[in-house]
Amino acid sequence: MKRTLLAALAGVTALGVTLWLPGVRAGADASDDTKPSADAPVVTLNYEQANGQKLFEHYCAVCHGASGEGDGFNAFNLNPKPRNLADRESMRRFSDNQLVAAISQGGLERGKSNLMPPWGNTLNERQVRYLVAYLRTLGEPK
Amino acid sequence: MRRIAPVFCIVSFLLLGVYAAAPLREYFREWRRYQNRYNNLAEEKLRQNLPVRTVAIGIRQIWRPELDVVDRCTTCHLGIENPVLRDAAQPYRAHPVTPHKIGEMGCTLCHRGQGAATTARGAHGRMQWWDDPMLPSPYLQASCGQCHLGNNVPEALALNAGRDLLQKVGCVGCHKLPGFAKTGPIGPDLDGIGSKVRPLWLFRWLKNPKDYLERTYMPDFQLSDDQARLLTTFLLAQKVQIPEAALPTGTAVIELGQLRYREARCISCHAQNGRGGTFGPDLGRVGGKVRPGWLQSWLRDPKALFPQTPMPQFSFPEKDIQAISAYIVSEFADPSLDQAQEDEFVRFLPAASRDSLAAGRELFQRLGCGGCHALKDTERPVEFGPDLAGIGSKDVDRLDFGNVRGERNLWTWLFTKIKTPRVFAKNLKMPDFRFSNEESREIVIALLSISGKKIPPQYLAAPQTARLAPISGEFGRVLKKYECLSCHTINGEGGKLAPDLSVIGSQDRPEWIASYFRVPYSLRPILTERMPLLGMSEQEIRTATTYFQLVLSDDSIPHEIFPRGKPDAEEVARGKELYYARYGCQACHQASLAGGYVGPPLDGDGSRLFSGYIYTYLKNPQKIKPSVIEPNYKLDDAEARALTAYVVSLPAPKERQ
Repeated sequence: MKRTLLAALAGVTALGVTLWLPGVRAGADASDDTKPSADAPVVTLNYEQANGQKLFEHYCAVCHGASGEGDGFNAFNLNPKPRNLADRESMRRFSDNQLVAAISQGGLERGKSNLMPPWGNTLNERQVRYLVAYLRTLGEPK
Repeated sequence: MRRIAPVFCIVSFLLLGVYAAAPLREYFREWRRYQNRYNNLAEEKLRQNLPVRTVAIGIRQIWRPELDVVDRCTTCHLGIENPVLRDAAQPYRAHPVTPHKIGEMGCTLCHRGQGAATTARGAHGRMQWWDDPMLPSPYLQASCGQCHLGNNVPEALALNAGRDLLQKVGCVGCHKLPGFAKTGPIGPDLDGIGSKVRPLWLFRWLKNPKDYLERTYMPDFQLSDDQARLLTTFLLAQKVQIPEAALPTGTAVIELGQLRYREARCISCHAQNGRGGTFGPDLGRVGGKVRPGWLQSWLRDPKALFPQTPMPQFSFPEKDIQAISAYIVSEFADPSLDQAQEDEFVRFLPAASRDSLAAGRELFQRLGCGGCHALKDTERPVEFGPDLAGIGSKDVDRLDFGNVRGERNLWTWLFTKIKTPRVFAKNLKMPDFRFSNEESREIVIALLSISGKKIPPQYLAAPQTARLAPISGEFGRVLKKYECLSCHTINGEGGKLAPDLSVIGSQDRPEWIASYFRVPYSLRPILTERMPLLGMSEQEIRTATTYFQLVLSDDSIPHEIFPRGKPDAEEVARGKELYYARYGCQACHQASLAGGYVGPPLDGDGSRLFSGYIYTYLKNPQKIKPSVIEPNYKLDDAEARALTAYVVSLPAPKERQ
């Protein structure tokens, strides 16, 4: 009789553990989202950055240069020279919101050169955010 | 009775155990752990004075019955709407900025996966018998394309590029592709190919098109030498009547040809070994490709040989045609192809007999060449390749991976197929387009967007298809002859290389346009693609300028804003002040021969543009030219007027006066 009781208890425990375990174990797989396979394409820029890149190339690269170093083809004509946006050390001093303001309001309004135009009437806030996301990738060690 | 008691006892305990385990198991569900951890994170952020709210423990879900969406993703992804958590670790990270409000349409409509699941593995859909796993981020833009049709989806850059490619490389020639119109053949007509090209060039082209023309869309069919020779014989037999004219020789002729070639600005569309425009084929080695007689006929009237060509008809006199042809053949010779080699090659070519021609035609049909090229007595293949309706949600178990190892999912299969079309089995017909990894990704995105998912009509965003009737009549003939719409756009139709002409009549003064047609100069010195010297007749110039004035005008743009056509000196001075000190226009524009080159130089603009246009444009440049770089400064009326006054007061530089 005692043996049967023990067996029954063991069964209950085993059942409980099996019912419970799968729920716990699944947590281990939670972090492995979107890992590209070996021959999958490598995408270096995320959605915000890729859209920012396109805007940058269209609006900004003429002066700031394709790699953001302030050496666009039109930079020869500008005094002061366009900022080197690939200088990560100096760019780190600005918060995202400061960069958004600089792009939207332009130079004059912020006490800088009027050669940097305000883009706030031409680009919407989302587009300016994309630009900032892209600026953060400039000067990244390759 | 005594025997059943222990069994009854065990079963009772088992039942009790099940009841005890159920709440316990519920208590230890992983989503609770994620929510508890999130609340710890929130408290930590709150201590740093960052606005992150703790949440009540419980399942959260987004329900959109019309979209068939029940998504519980936000049960664990608790921070997706909070920009403070932009750099937080998953599952709490904020969603990147997108044009849509986060969660507006649920999650799985874009990300796929299993929305109703409450475990990470189940929700991400990476489990057996769930056919719709989450789309990895490189392919995510495919989801934009479920609702957004056309190839101009805002911000979905890779999707647009993929759809462009599907259209450009002529996929519809062989496949049924929902959302893509079955266009005419995208390659040139082959009816006169035998009169056009040289034999050895044709053979090498068939063997490896990219070797001659890096940017061609003609794919590599991986032909054997024998197959390529047979096709060469067959194609060389397709001749039209073209006088076999010998070319004049001598340095004087070639120099004249070079001069005319430069004047006509052929390089705007045709590069020479990679340098120059990309609209037409690179001519760097064309001397080894075309026959001289064909070249002269082509320069005389391209449309007589290929009616769909985007090349304008230049009105060259006969002497110039000969000189340009002589220049092209001598200057752009192919060093890898000499006459002796070619003679040797022709000697071993299968003779053009009834049998060989029939075999050649049969091979032409079997390869599906007719999908892209028209040729008399051959048929355009019908449903040559598989129908691609619903390809974006095809069941992975129905894909043949052959012996290829690697991940078994739809996008990996599609990517591999695009990169190496014949890898999954023998005797596959799809040719190799040599797409780069990036191009392949873009194409896979475009294919995945053809998911066959039922989207309610109010969510669909289709491009505007209301097309105006094509321009015909006298101006229509001028437009067609010079192929203006290869580069320019009128009312949404045409190319993007050159300025939009939809309101040109309100923009440029007719006398300026006429002089520009006679001798086009580049407004922007930095451009490679420049307006060619077309040699229009005075009658044609009158037709065009009249049409611009009568039709391509916008009544909301006045012609003149200054009484007597001239601003007074005071307004000019005020404009000059604004130009330099306030708005820094000199950063991008030349005025009095100083300034930048981003925009057009402004000296003499008063004789080119109507003052009313300058004024209207300055007030809101993007309203007239949606993608122009010129920033909108929100000028008030007086400022815009003063700036206009200064611009029209700038005299033209000496060489153009």
